[in-house]
Amino acid sequence: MSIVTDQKAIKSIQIMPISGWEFPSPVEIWNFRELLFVMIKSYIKGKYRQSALSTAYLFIQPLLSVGIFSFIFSRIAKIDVGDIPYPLFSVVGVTSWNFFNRSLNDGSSSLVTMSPVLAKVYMPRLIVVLVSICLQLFEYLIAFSMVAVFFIYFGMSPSIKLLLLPLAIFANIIFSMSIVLWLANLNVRFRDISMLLPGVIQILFYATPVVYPLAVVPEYLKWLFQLNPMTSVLEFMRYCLFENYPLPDMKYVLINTCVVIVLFVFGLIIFNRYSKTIVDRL
Amino acid sequence: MIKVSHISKRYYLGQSVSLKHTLKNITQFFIKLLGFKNKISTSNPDLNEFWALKDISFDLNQGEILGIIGTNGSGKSTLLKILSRVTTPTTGSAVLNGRVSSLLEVGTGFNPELTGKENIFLNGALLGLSQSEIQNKYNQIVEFSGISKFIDTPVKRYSSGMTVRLGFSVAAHLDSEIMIIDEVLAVGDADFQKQSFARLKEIREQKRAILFVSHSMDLVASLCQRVLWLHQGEVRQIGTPQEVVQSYLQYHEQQRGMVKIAKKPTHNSPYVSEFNMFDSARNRIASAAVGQKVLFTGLISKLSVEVNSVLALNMWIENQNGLVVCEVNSNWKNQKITGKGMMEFQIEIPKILMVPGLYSMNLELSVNYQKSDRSLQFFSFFVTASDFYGSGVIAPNQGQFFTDFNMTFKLLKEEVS
Repeated sequence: MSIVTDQKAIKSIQIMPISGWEFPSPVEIWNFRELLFVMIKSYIKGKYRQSALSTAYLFIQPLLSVGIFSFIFSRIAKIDVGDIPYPLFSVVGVTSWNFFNRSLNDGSSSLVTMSPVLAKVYMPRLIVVLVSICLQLFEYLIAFSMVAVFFIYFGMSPSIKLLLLPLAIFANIIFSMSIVLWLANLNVRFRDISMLLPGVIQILFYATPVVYPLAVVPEYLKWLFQLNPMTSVLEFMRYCLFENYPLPDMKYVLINTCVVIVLFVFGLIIFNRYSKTIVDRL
Repeated sequence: MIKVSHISKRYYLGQSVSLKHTLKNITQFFIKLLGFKNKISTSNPDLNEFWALKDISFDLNQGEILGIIGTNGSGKSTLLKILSRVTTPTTGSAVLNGRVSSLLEVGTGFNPELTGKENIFLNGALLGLSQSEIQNKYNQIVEFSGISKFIDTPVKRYSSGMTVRLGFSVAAHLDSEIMIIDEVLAVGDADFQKQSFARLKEIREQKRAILFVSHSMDLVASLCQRVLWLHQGEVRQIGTPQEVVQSYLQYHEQQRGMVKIAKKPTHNSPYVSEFNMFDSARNRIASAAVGQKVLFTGLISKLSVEVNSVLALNMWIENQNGLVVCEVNSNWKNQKITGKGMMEFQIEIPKILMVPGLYSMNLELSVNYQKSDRSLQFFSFFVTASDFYGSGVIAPNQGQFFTDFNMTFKLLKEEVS
């Protein structure tokens, strides 16, 4: 028998009423890492084994969007995106927005979807949200690989600032997760959330510089647009990828970072408290 | 291994106020955060409180199986949910020393798109096994499930029986120190149930602490060392299976009224109005040890036998599966029942020979070979293990009935070594 099992054997579990407000235990999440991986692996296997189409769909859906937006924004509306070919410009925004959109939709219903399992076996509830985010991240990264293909196709080379790209993707993940932490629990109590969400996100899509640059937003509205954390994420991402793309206004980036950190920290605490008794409310 | 102290669990009935409750909690949090004294009480008078568990305390030691019995709604599942950490108690605490596996339902979390093999790994992980542990036990699990032929087939193509088999097989190979088992034996066909039962007995030998919830008094009595009776969220009794199961059954028979046949026949035919079990000292009992002498007495009301009619009293005993294990009939001894009015009868069984378990007593009165009054399950009684052969050995409950036997051994040729 290995030492690891022995350690597990003497582990003692305390069952206590909910008291106060605390963070989910990182040690506990770490102890459940294997379950996290198995769940992600199982889900991906289950989804992509049966249909070749679901793999293709990863690319087809964003490509269709890029095609439509290219037609509208570069042929009809003639939006100025500088020296960047419009399809390349929009594929970055579309795939990144898709991640945000799907994380919110999938993540906010994750606790309800997993409830039959949660009602039977114990796991830290955060695992459920992490699984959901990781699945979306997996698809995001695959779809995002199209950006490289577009760079090659248009014969462009990315800026050296590319090294900062992981930071932009990380910001996208944390922002999505901070909202999911709030919505997942609320959705257990008020199921309307999963009904309203797609519509809200649809409106947000047009109110966020996803398929157009912030530069084309009228001057008097810019401050409002920039108070959207997703604007910071996308503008920064494009700054990382494209040589001549302007750095977003750091004042707003800082504000948004603070907002997201607050959302995330309180999201974790409140999620931790309310997800413990989620089974009682389902 | 398990120490449960004063666990209570409150639920709110009705839910429409939950938004208010949530907001209140969140404001409370901010009030606390700002350093104000928290003066808002946690209980919420707007809602109907319901205490599913009230002050539950008990211990469970290593190598012990504790049975939990109680009617639906007595709090059994809530208790198991708390101990398996699916939800938290409102007050009280518990300490569990060791890894806990809860087997609240077989096949929880199966992904129908995945093969049986992949689901073994997924399910194992959900139940708390590490991937290497599952790898080590994989062959055993597959063999136990008896569906090795289909192990690479997606579970969505399985029959429900196969899914259950697979689920139980994974669960049965958990080796955590503490197991929480809820009615898992009530699944699968008879063969598989037998196999599962045997596996449970095997697990019992392995010095783990097991919490076992079941509605089958037979199972509880034969598997558990101690039994806890939950009644309306409280511990009503905790003790040996015989004691607790007996008083549990007695309680329910009282609730039901000892005599089920309370509805009197409208026409003027005789009926059995009372029926009870006594020991040889004429104390009313609800259980009897193997080999014990028991008396059944009862009353026949509205007896009026015409000259040429034949009245017969038939009594039979069924086991928990509804199988008739023995039957006695006044006709078989050519006994005549005659008279008019109310009659007392007595049936003496010199030796109870059934194996320990739960049995039900049934009576039927027939006039001219036509039933006039029939009752199924007059009452249940418990046969307990005993030193049937007077040898100092408590005979195990194997087989269906006991029989006297003689074994002789004669050494034919002595070998000198």
